[in-house]
Order: sequence, then structure tokens, then C-alpha cells
Amino acid sequence: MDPLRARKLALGTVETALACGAAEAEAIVLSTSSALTRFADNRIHQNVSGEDTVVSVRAVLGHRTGVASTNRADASSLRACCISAVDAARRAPEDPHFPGLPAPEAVVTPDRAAPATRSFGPEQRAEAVRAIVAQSSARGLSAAGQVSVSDDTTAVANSLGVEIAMPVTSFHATVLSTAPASGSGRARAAGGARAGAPPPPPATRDRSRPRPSATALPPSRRGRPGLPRSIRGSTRSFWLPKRSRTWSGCWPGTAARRRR
Amino acid sequence: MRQFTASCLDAALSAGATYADVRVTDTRTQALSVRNGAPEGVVSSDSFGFGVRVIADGAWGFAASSDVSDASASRIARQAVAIARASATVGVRPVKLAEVAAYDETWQGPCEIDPFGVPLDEKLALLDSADRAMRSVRSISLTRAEMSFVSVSKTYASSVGSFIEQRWVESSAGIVAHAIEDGEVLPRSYPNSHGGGCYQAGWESITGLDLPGNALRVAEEASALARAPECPGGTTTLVIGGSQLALQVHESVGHPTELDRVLGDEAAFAGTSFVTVDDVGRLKYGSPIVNVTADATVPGSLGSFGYDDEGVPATRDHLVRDGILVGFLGSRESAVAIGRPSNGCMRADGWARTPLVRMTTVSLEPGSSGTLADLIADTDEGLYVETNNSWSIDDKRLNFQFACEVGWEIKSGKLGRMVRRPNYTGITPRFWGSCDAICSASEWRVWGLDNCGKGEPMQVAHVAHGAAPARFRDIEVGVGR
Repeated sequence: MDPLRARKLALGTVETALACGAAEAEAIVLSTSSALTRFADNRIHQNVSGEDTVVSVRAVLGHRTGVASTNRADASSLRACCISAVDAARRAPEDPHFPGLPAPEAVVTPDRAAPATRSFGPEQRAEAVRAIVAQSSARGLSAAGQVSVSDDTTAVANSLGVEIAMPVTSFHATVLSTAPASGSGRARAAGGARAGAPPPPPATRDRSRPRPSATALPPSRRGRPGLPRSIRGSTRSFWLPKRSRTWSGCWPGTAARRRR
Repeated sequence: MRQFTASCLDAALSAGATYADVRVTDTRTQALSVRNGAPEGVVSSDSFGFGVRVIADGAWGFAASSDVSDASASRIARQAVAIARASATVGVRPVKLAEVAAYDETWQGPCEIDPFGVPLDEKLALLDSADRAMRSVRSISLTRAEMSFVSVSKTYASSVGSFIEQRWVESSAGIVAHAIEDGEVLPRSYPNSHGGGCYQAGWESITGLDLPGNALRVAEEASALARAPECPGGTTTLVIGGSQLALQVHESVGHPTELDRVLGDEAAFAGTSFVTVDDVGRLKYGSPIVNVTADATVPGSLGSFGYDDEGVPATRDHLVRDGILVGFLGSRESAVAIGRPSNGCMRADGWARTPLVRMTTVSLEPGSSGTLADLIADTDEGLYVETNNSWSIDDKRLNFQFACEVGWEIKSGKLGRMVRRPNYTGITPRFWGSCDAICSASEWRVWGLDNCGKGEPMQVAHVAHGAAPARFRDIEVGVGR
């Protein structure tokens, strides 16, 4: 969804929430388009894409707030969502520390989207996988991992006049290379580049020729030279003896509740 | 919906797919909680969309959208085919699927009272009542009562000719009281930790828990934990309560027998398995009294359904019989690798995700050792533990450590003093091999787990495990102290 449409949807939702009884309201629209290619044993075994737009409403009644969300953008669904948020706010306890919704401030219109990442389609993801797999298979290793891209737009609007949207693209790749007998290596690349192609695929190496640390990688493999440090792709590699690859069961990126 | 799913399938086949299926899923959720006497939050959401999965050029492709329209049907189906064709360019081994018949069916899970029809005030009043009872115990520092509800309506159609509509409701609730002693937080939960009890049922399952009636006991046990000694370390006989044993089954039998892990597809993220395909019929997984089943037909279980997300009917299958590994959790594709039909374990956590091999109701079958009281009476010396507090297991599901909320020493066939922070460790086949008693069917219960994470993009499955308390010999407990 383009930023203008996302802003209009957020603003319209705020107006609906006010009409449903909220004293103040905020709407966040998150429109996502993502794709992920998984590979294992040197072949692609899963390749997916998805698009979704979720509207989240925060209704404010004094120092009480309530939240509801929906991914249906028709008027009746948005209205039902707003009513749920207002209903939740009515039952919420007073939060004396709630500072109220933010007022608008002058901001530079942010844009963190890269056209090259947006157009990084299934063929390009397969090409990236092929490059990763080639490094492992040439060394007699088995590669498993993923290459993913996302193109998201977030819009925020509130009843005090905030109205802004930001597109963001990102790229991630991971690879675990495993030797037939023992030993494995893992590498990861991530980027939210403003322009140009996604970062190069992560490097993999045979454990028989280990490197002391990721810092030993040549600059060309550490990131994307020429881009500001804050937005260039980052890579890191580390080595673990196969038998010590234990983990706690706590998944990366999850919040309060642990995944089993 | 028939017309929409037919449009998706037609578009996929016209674009060159040799197989296609489509799922349209409508999910509604509500969660609310009370903490320390105040409503903490009421959150509701709904999500509607569809996903098309295809095989083209011998490879998989999947595309999904929340835009459920005729125009989108064709676009997304073609996109799935394009993705499959790209998949086929890297190391493809043409996908082969085990046979499945075509079904035109509907299925509905049990639900007497629609929880979404129960007023919010009634729900909050129940939570508040339980929370208030816990706070009546003075030494309790933090209390929380929570409940959540999920309603799912799913339509599945495939190029095999199936058209299947399924609906179910899930209800979950629980309470937890925390005592704090010397900076250590000591939780005590009911009916289970990590969110409480989870059921494929309606509001009746929540009222049946009697949260307020159990709140005082829970709080008093948390308070007692604060005064209890640490669990002593050593090797002893361990009796494990049902809910903890359910998680033990989940981590050390369920995950290692997922065929996608066994075949290496999850190597880079969730992990693999110490079990190999060649182990079937040979691997001694446990003692001869250990029988583990995968059953998607258990009424009221989070692991139950009419058909999985490949249109395979729900089945009951043995994973371990008389202590020997005899089966896996599989899909139509992975089943081919072991030369069997699919036992219907493919599920996605929503319309936006492609299905993965998932546990159904993976259960330790009941034994013949009577009640928990009988089992304790039959144990001369040891430790009884219940309710999970934390877990850790390696990526082959071999070496594990679990901590529980509470334990009691067993002396001369009787429960003795309470101990805090009991934990135990083991190696999967050795641990199950040490099982010498399992309580009878009267003690067997199904425990729902609604937070099983797996796959990229991450999916969170709702599964379940049946278990009765069981006894294990020579187990290392109180480790790391």
C-alpha cells in the first residue's frame, strides 16, 4: 500500500473511532508485503509470499485506553473494530501516567524503501539461494537457511493532528552449513538499504579452514560499502562445534511468551 | 466460497500448476487479564485472508493475501506458480505427494457456549474474583488472572477435488500467584503455567476450571514456596505430574518425530532430530510401558481437527509402541520418504502461512499404576514435581533440562516437605527408558499448548498432549545449584 493510501486509511479510522465514542483516538496502519525462500540440503523446499494490511486502533477516554485491530478495511469492519477499542477503554483502569496522545511535530518525511529491494522477486531470491548453496556444495557441505525481503508501509494518525507514513524495505539472509561428519558454520546478512540491491549473500566456509572471528572478513563481505553505516547491510559469522549447538528454546524476535 | 476457491484453483492450474490447494481463513481473537486487582487489558483482533499453495515444475510455491476478491484470487494464484517455478531452479527434487482422497465435508469443534457472546463484564468479574482471592494471602507480591479466546473458520479446497469447511473455538484461562523471596520470583499457577489451560471448547471450559475456587490454594502454595528449601541435588526417583509430563512429551517425543525435522528441512532454524528414518522399528525410545500416540480426533483438544491443511482426515497413529519407535508426524510429501500414507499433521497458523508438519495431540498413553496417590505410595524415596517453570533442549531434542514450579520430597511412600525450584535433566531415550510406572486412565488428562513456535516465517501452533503422572528411576535432579 502506498503511503498516501495508508495515511488516508489511518485518518479515516481515527474519525470512525471518534464517531464511536472515543474522546481521542489513534490509528496505526501496517501494510506488509513480504517473501521468504527457505532452503535445506542445498535445495529450495519452501518459497512463500504474503500481503496484509492491519489497522490497529487505540481509543482514549481520559486516562483509559483500549486497543483493537483488524485486517478488514471495509467500513463496517473498521467500525466494529473501533467499537471494540472504545469498549475496551471503558473497562480499562485509569492510568495516571498516561501522557495522552502525541501532538504533531515538524518531521522530515521518512523514506526507508529501496526500489531494488522492492523488485527483488522470486527469481532474484532463487539466484541468491543458488549463490549461497554453491559455496557450501563446492566444499561438500549441506546448506540450510533463508533469503527474505519485505516491503512495509506504516502510517500513524491521531485525533490531535498527527498524520504520517513511512515505507521501509528490508532484506535478510541466513545460512547454516553443515559438514557430513561434524562441524557447522552459520552466517547472517541483514539490510534495510535506502537504495541499490540487497546486501550480498552471507559467506560460508568449511570448518577445516575456520576464521577467528567475523571481523576477519574482508570489508566487501562485512557490509555494503558506500552506504551510511546505519542503513547498510550487516553480516556476522560465527562458528560453533556441532555438539554445542544447544539453545534455550527461546525464539528470536518473540515477546513475552516463550515458544516451545 | 466454493466459487472463490474454484477461481483460485483454476487460475493456478491454468498458469501451469500440477497441484494446487487454497485455504480461506477467518480468525477472531480476544484476550483479557487482571493483574494485582486491576484490569490489565482487553485486546481483540480479527484476521481474514487466503493462501494458495501450488506445485509447478516439481517445486512448491505459496502466495497469500488479505484481499479476498476475485481479482486477487487470480493474481495470487499466478504469483504462487511463479514462485514455484523459481523454486525449481535450485536443486529441485520433484515433489511427490502421498495419495489422498477427495472429500466434500464440514467439521465443527465442540463449543456449548460461544465465549465471544459472553459480556466482557462477566469475564472481567470472574478474573477479578480469582485475582482477589489470591491477593488475600499477604505474602503474595504479584497476581495475574487471564483468559483468551480464538474462533477459526477455515475453508480448504484442492485440485484433488476436496472442499472442506471447518470451524472451532478455543478457550484458555489461568491464574498465577508470585511470591518473592530474597529477590527470587516464585510462581504458582493453575491449571497450568504459561497462560493456563487451553481447550478446544467454549465458555463452559472456563467456568469449569473454577478459577476463584482454586485461587486461595494457589496463593498459599506460592507463599509456602517462599519458605521452602531449595531442591537438593542428586540422582533419585522422579515422579512427574501430568502437565509437566505433557511438555516433556512435546519437547522430547513430539518435536523429534516431526518428519520435516528428521529430513533436515528445519535445520537452519527449529533444528533437526536425533531420530532417523531408519530408526523405525528399531530405536528403543523408552521402556516397554512407554506408548506414545498422535491423535487428531481427541474431543476438546487443541490438537484436534477434521482434516489437516492438506485435506487428510484426522487420524490416530502410534509414534512409540511398547517402547519402540514406530512412526512419525508427517505430511503428504514427507510421508513418501518413509513409504507410508500421510497421517495428517500439516497445519498452518493462519491464512498467510504455508502448512508445516505439526503435532496433533501427542500423548503418553496411560499405564496401569492407579492414581497419583497410589504411585506415590508405591515409591519408597524420591521427588514429585509438577507444573513447568522453564525448559531447555538442544536442537536435536536429545539433551534437556526442565524446571518446575514446585516439588515435594517422597519419603516412605508419602509426600514430605515442599522444595522450591526443582529441576531435572536427562538424555531423551535414556530418560524414557527409565520410566517404570505410569498412572492409569483415571489420571490421564489432555493439556493444551498454544505457543509452539516453528518455521520461517515464524508460525505458532496450538497443539496438545495427554499424560498421566509417571515415575522415572535414577534421574539427576537439582542440577546447576
